[in-house]
Amino acid sequence: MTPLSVRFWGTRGSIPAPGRSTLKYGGNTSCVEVRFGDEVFIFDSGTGIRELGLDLIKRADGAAQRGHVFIGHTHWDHIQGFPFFVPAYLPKNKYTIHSVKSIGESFETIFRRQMGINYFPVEVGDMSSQLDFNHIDTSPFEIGDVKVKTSFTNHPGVNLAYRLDFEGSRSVVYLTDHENHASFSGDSELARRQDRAIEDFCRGADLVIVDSQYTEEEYELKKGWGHSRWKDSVALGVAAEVKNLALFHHDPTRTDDALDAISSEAQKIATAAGSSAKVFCAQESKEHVL
Amino acid sequence: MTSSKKIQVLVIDDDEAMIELLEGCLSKIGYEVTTAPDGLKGINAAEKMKPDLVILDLLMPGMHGFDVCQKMRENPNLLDTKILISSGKGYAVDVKAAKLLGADDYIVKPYEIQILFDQVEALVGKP
Repeated sequence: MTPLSVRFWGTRGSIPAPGRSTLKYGGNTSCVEVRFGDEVFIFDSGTGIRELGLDLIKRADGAAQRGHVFIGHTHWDHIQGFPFFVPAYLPKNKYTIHSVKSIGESFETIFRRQMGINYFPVEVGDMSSQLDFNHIDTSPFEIGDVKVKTSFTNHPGVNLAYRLDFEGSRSVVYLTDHENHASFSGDSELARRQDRAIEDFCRGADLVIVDSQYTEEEYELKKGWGHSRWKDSVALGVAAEVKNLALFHHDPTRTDDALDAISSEAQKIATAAGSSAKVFCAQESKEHVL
Repeated sequence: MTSSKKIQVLVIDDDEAMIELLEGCLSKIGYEVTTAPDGLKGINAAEKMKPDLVILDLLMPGMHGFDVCQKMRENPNLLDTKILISSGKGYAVDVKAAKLLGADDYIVKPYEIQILFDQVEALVGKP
């Protein structure tokens, strides 16, 4: 069976959080690499993509690189590393960047604008690799043997969650920048149906990488900011019977000690609920073989 | 609008229960209701029937409701059609975005049906 692994290059939400208190879980914003044999799939291009780029160059050892980048949405913490993604500057390389139309403008327009002349000295058009933009909606599609499904999430503006299904019934879900519907809008039949749809999207996945930005106390102040309480995310993982649940998009204020404590408590909650899932806080540089 | 022609409402929503509820309630009080389960089918239906009002969900399979709204606003044949966004997403940014894209009003689900009736009436009048 083709080897499948996932490595976190950026686990933080909102803004990078470097410093002594975040050395273990990392300070880079959202970027996750999924490797399927020689194929590379990247979720988001937050600041973590800089180091991923350097690693890809090292691994390629001079060979041409191909890859797919899936962008959830164009808020800064999901795109701001791309100008420093060195493989995009090498002519022999080719990357396809997939995402959805945002509010009134194509994602390509917004993506290019962050490298406009007043923001950055190099424009996207000056990057020498072949960069293709693929505008998608939530219709499923395939890349080779990999099936790609998407779903809109509950987040201000337009954001996509992704599910990749691989041979051997293995699957990875990237569900960040999502706020539990019932927590946000109150318990109702409708909110429960919407939460069930997200649950079905995650159903049985080998790994779900899930927005878990807030504690309960923080959520009291930040309800309606488009992110979930980590306890809601654990409940989602349990209900969707996932095999591994990576709590992700850590709040920039969250220290390593706090994330250690959340990891431990989250695992206890899942186990007590009868789940056999492995639950943990996503840690930068850590690789998970599926 | 003439009194002989019923006011036509197109509901675009993937939630079957919501479709059933709106179709039942709005028909009962005299609006002529057509439904579509996703954005693409909704746009096609709107182009054919040129409804007086579109009640449009945001999170649906396929196209996002914002994209549907923008495409309708770009269609010169639908300039007179009012668009009411009906979504569980009550974020301030989304309300602002809907206005930017040409929607006429926004209602956050779940809602009391009378509030919807009031907003529909304010947009297209009594049936």
